[in-house]
This record gives sequence, C-alpha cells and structure tokens, in this order.
Amino acid sequence: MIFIISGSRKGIGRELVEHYLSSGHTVIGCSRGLTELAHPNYTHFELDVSDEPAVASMVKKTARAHGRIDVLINNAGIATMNPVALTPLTTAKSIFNTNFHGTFLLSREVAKVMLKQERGRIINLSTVAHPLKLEGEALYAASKAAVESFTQVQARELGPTGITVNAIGPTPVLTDLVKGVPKEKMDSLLQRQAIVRFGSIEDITNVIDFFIRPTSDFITGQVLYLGGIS
Amino acid sequence: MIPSIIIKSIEGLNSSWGLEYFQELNADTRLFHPDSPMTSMQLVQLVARLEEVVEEETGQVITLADEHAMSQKRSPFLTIGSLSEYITSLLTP
Ligand SMILES: NC(=O)c1ccc[n+]([C@@H]2O[C@H](COP(=O)([O-])OP(=O)(O)OC[C@H]3O[C@@H](n4cnc5c(N)ncnc54)[C@H](OP(=O)(O)O)[C@@H]3O)[C@@H](O)[C@H]2O)c1
Repeated sequence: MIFIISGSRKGIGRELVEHYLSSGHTVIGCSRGLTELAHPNYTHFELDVSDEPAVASMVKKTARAHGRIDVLINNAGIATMNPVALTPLTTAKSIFNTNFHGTFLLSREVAKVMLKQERGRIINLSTVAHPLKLEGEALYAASKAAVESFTQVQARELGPTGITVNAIGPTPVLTDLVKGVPKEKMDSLLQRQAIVRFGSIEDITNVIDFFIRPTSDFITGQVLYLGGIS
Repeated sequence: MIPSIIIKSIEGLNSSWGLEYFQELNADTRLFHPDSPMTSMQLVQLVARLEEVVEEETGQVITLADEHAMSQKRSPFLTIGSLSEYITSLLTP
C-alpha cells in the first residue's frame, strides 16, 4: 500500500514510517527538516504541513508517481506547556497551524485522490490531553479537539465514498514532544489512566492497523483513546 | 483552452455519473447550482480532476477552493463559464 505520513523525521512519525516500511509498504513522509532515513521505498518531502502549495504539490506528485494513495496518517504535531495567561498569540497560531490546519490541508488534498479510487483510510493523531482537560495544555488540547471534530465531520462527508476517517488519542509516549513536562506532572497524568504506563509505538500501530484493514470499512468518525481514557 | 478542459473533464466523469443533464455542455451549463443534478461529491470529483488536468496542460498547481462555493450568487462553481473564469484568474499568464 501507499502511505503518506506527516511529521516523519522523528518521534512517533519516524517509528510509524519504519513500521510500515518493514511490512513492505511504500511510505511518503514529510516534515520541516531533512530526514536521515534512507530506504528504497521511502520518499521524504521537506515542508511545513501548513504550507498549502507545498502540501498540494506533494500529494499530486505522490499520486502521479504511485497512481494511488491508500493511507494518510496526519501525525505532524507540536505542543507547548503553558498556562493560558502566559501563552503568546504567536504560539497559539503556530500550534493551530501545524496541528489543525496541517491536518485539514493534507486531508483535503489526499481525499481528492482517494475519491477517485473510491477507497482510502485517513487517520488523525489526537491526544488524551483533550479528554483529560490537562491544565497547561489548553492550546494543544484545543487544537486536537478541533482535529477530533474535523475527523467526525469529514467522516460523514466521505461516508458514501469508501473512505474512512478516524483518530487515535495516545497517552504519553516518550518522545521529544513530552520532554519538557515535569516528572511529577507526568506521574499524575499517568495515574489518571486505567492502565498506568507510558504508551508505546506498538500500542499506536495496533490501532492504526485496525483502522486500515479492509474489514474496518464500517468504522469511521471514531476517536480511540489508549490507556483506558474516555 | 480552459472551457474545453472543463467540458472534457465533465464528459469523462459523466461516463460513470450517467447524468443526461450533462449530455450537452456549453458555457451556460449549470454545475453546482440548484437547477443542476450535480451533488457536492460530484463537484469535489470534478475539482480533483480539473486540478490534475490544469497541471498537466499548464504546469501550474492550483487549488480550487473558494469560500463562496456553496453560495447561489457568488459561487465560481455555478456554471462552466464562471468556473472557467475562476480557473483563469488563478493561473499566472
Ligand atoms: N508523544 C506523546 O506523548 C504524544 C501523545 C499523544 C499524541 N501525540 C501526537 O503524536 C504526534 C507525534 O508526536 P511526537 O511525540 O512524535 O512528537 P515529536 O517527537 O516532537 O515529533 C514531531 C514530528 O512532527 C514534525 N513536525 C512538527 N511540526 C511540523 C510542521 N509544521 N510541518 C511538518 N512537520 C512538522 C517534526 O519534524 P520537523 O521538526 O522536521 O518538522 C517531527 O517529525 C503529534 O501529533 C502529537 O500531538 C504524541
């Protein structure tokens, strides 16, 4: 299958790329920086997911080169730990640009390709920060709440077309994204889960593999949280 | 050139839509308009096809997204003529 995975330079995105490459798929990734990953079935685009012409061009080049796009994983995301009172507007805008506008642009462009195939899978990355209403993460949680709502509405718009749109909300996974969160805060966050431990890449690929398999064609507009959060 | 690109694209898509309404196409043919049978999903298919063909023919990547798409007065998607004008306005000469 042909995958597009955003935010693929490091963290969860990089691991997702390696997972799907090792299962024999072709992956097209993108992030603002260059990747060190070199693999015959991997192509990297250096772009910001909120750059409309760059995203449109990547999607068109991918469709032309491979003839189809089977799976889109909207993984690129950024976070800040900051109380609302101390959050600059520039930070708020950049969080929404990457997390929400990036997801919107990629989903819009890839859906046009998937419509022609009359099948496709779109998976968006959310977070438990939204259902847990995490203090200090208002902008991050709000941007992901927007992603969840977008997931559910786009799922309905694409309902009759063979394209499903779902989201996964991981619990904390040890990547650069959560590096700045103080230990006590992280511990108390984990304690709110039904199953108290960090999430792993396998927890995430398990859910994505479920969303993308052919028999999941009746599952759309869902947000699946890990660790027993609801 | 643009009107003929639009007409060819609709003809191509209509082979699977099977709409009699689109048998005869000209600048006044209504597209996403209350008097036309085109659905919003068919409009999206047309938009995707046009973006592709315009790039093939002109080498320019355009995005056909307009805030007035659903408007009955100002939408560029009302007729083949208005869509043609809209696409032309997005292309750099
Ligand atoms: N880690 C967690 O605990 C956790 C929990 C729940 C949800 N998530 C979600 O999982 C996703 C991945 O997070 P992560 O932990 O892997 O973060 P990460 O380690 O910080 O990696 C983020 C990735 O996104 C790319 N990126 C950031 N901004 C971008 C932009 N504007 N355009 C294109 N690429 C961009 C980065 O590459 P460049 O720097 O090269 O652009 C990098 O590859 C995010 O959506 C996050 O919200 C993470």
